[in-house]
Amino acid sequence: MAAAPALATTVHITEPRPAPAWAVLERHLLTVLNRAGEKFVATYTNPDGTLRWKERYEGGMNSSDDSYEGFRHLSMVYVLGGDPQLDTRHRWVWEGITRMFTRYGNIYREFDSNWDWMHHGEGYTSFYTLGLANPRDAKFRARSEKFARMFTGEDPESPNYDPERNIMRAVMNGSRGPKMEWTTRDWIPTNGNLTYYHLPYDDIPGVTKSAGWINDEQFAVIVKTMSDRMAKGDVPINLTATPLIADAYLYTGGGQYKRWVTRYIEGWEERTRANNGITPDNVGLSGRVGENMNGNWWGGYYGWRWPRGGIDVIRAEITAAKVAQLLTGEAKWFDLPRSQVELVRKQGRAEGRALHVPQRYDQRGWNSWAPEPGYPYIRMWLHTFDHREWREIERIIGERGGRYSGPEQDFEWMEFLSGKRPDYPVRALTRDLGFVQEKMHHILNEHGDPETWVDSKWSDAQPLATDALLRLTVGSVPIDVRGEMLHCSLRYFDADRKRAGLPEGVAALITRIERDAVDVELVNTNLFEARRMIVQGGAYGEHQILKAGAVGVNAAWFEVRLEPGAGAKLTVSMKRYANRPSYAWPKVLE
Amino acid sequence: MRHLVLAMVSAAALCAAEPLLHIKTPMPAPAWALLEQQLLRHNSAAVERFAAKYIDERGYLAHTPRWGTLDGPDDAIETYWNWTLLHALGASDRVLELFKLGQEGHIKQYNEIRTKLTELAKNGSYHREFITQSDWFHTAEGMRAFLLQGLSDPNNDLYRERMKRFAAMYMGEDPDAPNYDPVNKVIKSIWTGSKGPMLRKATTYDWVGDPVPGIFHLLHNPAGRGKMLDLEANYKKMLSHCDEYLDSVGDNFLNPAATILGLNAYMLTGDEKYRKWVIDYMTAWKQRSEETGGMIPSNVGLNGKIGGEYNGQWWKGTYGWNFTIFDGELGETAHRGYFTDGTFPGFGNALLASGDPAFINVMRKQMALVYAQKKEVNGRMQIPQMYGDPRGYKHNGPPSWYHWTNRLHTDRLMELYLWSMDRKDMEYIPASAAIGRGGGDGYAESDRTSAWLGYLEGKAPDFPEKALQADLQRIQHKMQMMREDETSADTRLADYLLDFNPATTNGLTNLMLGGYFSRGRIWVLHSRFRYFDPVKRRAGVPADVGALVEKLGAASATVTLVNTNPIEPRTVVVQAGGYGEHRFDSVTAGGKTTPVNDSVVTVRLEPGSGAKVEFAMARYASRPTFAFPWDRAWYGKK
Repeated sequence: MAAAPALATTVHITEPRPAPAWAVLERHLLTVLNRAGEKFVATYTNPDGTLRWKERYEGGMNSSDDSYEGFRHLSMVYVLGGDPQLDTRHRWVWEGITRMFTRYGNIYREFDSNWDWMHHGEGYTSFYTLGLANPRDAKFRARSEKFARMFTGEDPESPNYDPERNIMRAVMNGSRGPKMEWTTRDWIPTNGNLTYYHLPYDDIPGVTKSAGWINDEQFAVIVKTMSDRMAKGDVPINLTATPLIADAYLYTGGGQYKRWVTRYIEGWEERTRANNGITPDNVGLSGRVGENMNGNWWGGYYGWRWPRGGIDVIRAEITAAKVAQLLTGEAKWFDLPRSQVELVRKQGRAEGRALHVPQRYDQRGWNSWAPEPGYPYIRMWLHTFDHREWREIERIIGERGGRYSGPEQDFEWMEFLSGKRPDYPVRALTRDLGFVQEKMHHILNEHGDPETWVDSKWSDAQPLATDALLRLTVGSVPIDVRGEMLHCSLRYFDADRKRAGLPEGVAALITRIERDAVDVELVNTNLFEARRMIVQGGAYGEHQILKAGAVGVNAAWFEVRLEPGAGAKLTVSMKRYANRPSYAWPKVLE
Repeated sequence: MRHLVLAMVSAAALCAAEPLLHIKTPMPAPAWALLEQQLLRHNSAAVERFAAKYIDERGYLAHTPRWGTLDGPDDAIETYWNWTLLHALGASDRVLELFKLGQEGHIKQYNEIRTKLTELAKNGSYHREFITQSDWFHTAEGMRAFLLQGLSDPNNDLYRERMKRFAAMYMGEDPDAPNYDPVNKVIKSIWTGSKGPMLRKATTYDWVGDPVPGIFHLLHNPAGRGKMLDLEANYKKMLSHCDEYLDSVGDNFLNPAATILGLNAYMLTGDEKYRKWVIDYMTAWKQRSEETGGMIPSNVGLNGKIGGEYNGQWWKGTYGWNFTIFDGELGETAHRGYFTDGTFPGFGNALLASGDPAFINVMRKQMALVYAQKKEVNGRMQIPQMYGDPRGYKHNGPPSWYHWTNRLHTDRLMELYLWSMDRKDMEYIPASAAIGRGGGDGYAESDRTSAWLGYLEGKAPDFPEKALQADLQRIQHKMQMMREDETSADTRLADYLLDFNPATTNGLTNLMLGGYFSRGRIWVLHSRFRYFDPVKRRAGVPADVGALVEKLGAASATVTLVNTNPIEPRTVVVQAGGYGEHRFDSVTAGGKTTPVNDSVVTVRLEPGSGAKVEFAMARYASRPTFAFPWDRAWYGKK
């Protein structure tokens, strides 16, 4: 056997551990995901990688986001330990979707022509996993830089960003640059869906009900009003562009990307300070808040009033803070989203056990009280490890009485990490298995006519569940489909096969996450062969690992050798965000 | 329990292959199902690795063979004791192939032996592929895997021919092996085999064989497994182990175990004569126990009278009730009475062959008599193990119970309970909520009787996972032992590798089949269910299918079936009993009950689907058979 590279610190795990239930479920889930992913791709794609879909696409300003989004887990499953073929298929289908939407006319220079960052984010969350899975794919690396430059002001053909005023020039942006005017054509067929929302403004002439969206005359007025007020200038949802720029940084280490991310966020911090601590949701081309909004700081697209309210501002700020922390190592970037969460919380009223907070702000002031969404606290705490977040997490655990739904399922996980709910791993993995099976049932019985399929066909049908694997194996919240990239405590590589992800037969379970350490259980369920793996601090080597068990590491990664059928719990102590992050894999894998 | 239907079902019914039960309800793979599959896979791989290291291309086991009971032919072949069962549960086909290689190699290897001090192996240990002469304690141990091969390999002509030949040796049909007297219904000696019965006193050389020069590793080393034994230096001691093992003539209560040959021949051929012999011979034993008031005599004379070779002292005979002897090797008095070892298998075989619960009553009565003597010593229950002159085998004074110990024969009580499903028979079986470390026979698997019963009684819901995990760990441990084993063929005797056999089947047998082997003694499969893959046309669950028997009632059983494959449906044939000896009356799943009236039910499982399935069943209502479900129309007629 070749000697290990001199720098490798190796932890040798020899203690026999019969396959725990979570470990066999985890391995089974990976197997099932491999099969399901393959079947999913085979069912919905043509031999050239394009989607089995309509001949012509008339989606208004809708574009490729749902299509890319539908395949977003393929590379991620590989990164976690699934079949490398899934990543290969992901790249292949990415090309197919790109060609297809280029033909449709919605993609130009391989990027969506004009769309908002809510939707860009949904599509390009799929893009970021490609760098994780293979930092050496020159084609995607070049794309990453090309895309980033469309938003950093470096690309004259796509002047989305005004470097002078540090603002994005429009809500709708992309490879064809900022879109300064909207027409009804852009909003067909979206207008149909929008009848389910409140109106963008209460003072649109002649429009008093959301049904106006499907009344030809009123529809035109609505769009005209929105175009006048919303189209031009910057909105907080554009903060969702930061991961795209970070993506280029993780490939290249280019300092301009890091500088852009921090400077752009600082612009929003500045405007927030100037607006009495509330992030304004619209900025005109001159850089003035409320410029096209009769001076109001509210009323922007995906802003405090419409379509949902403040949570969209907060989520974009959290997404950007995560990226900025990754690039700079500083937790201060969470001050901005924390301030907005607090501000809303201070408007809260107790209703029974739960705190109700206003979802929106408009000419009436704060309005639309509803139970406070708890998940932002967890998403921040996993980065700040700040007692202010943890205090609120504990409060919400108390308020909810153990029942969580939707994105608040992270609270079950928090309880597990606090030593409660010992059956959580098995239940979470079982839940994801159930999800895959439900989707597979649909896929295996697919018989619809592709001409009738809507944009969300693939994101609805896609069977790959990564929530449990992300939480349990690498210690990440499920990736926010609104455009996030992976942020986690640990990441694994197979040292023998030199691939990303858990080696075959190996299962991992993180049972405790603290600022300075995580506890992780590693088990080799194979009774015949030893396994060698790399455990890395963070998805991008951003955490410096100090010790693994009793072994000193002082590096971004260490090696583990697991004897057949062996397993152990390791305390991995670390200094978070101490290293420059990169998609590059540990050298030992080269 | 009369035979309301025959197991023969019409070909049309099976060929139509229209599943009676179609399970479509989603069920995310439960951990137990994944552990079952992992255990089947890892067992298969472990057996392959064992074979790669210890079996050569001729099928010879890499060790130093010799004749003897401490270490002899039965030990060598017993090394593979559960490989055929493992295959029948669903392990890889390679496992069955390797067993066959080992079985054929074993016969050749042990036929190369030439003993001088005993006649028994002067021309090899086997004659006409059956042991020349041995007792059924050892003969059966050596045949364990072979006797269950039919579960997987019922259409194997060689296997069928052998089984018929061997059965004939014990039915009075074979003039070269006149072991059986059909008039008095006795097997004539404790020493029987293909050379016929031993109708003389045995010699210690018959038991111990010739000395072989060398220093050896030995599992049954009195000094401990880790020590090496100088066989020549120790030879005298080994002989003195058997100084008092010389009585041979007359039937012995180990011999009922021989009925497995008749039962198996019946299940391979459907020929009534085999079934009749099993029932006749065991009925004779039943009558003998009635003559003593419920004690199963340990000796029957050639005249058919109980105690016939010992002036009516039916408690005499080697390994009998009164077999308290001086073991010259250990230098101590030893009690070596084995009243359950041949009788429970024999009466169990009679139950399978006849469906008649009267055979269970013999066992129940016997255990009741032993338990009537129970007493508490230091807070623990003890029962007598021996009966006869308490001074020992040499003495002929009046009999009484003696040698109370806390060996409570819980495994046999469990066997009895599972046959009767009468809750009164559970009285002395502790149902435990926890899976203990288990004892067991060293190389056998740990005894989980109490924990499994606890699970069936609803007290130990985590039993399936715990048991399967422990079994995986056992394989891991065996693999480690194998990797670290530094012995060589020249320094290993026949029993040494018994301890290295990695195949681990008890957990799977309990959980998938609702089956049970008392302390791992595998000669016949008593179970509630068995599974077949109708696509691959083989025994065992199809890939990805999990089965968990959750409840056993007298006329019902509940099993959860699940297909963990996310893409492909699976079809499994569920059989009532290891040999189709039971009958399904109806099947209930998802609140819907369907009548069955057959010993097999075909179930289709959609991808990722599963359900709890409850069967109403009449136990021992069908004739047992080895036939694959799809072969039953013609089976036995050829």
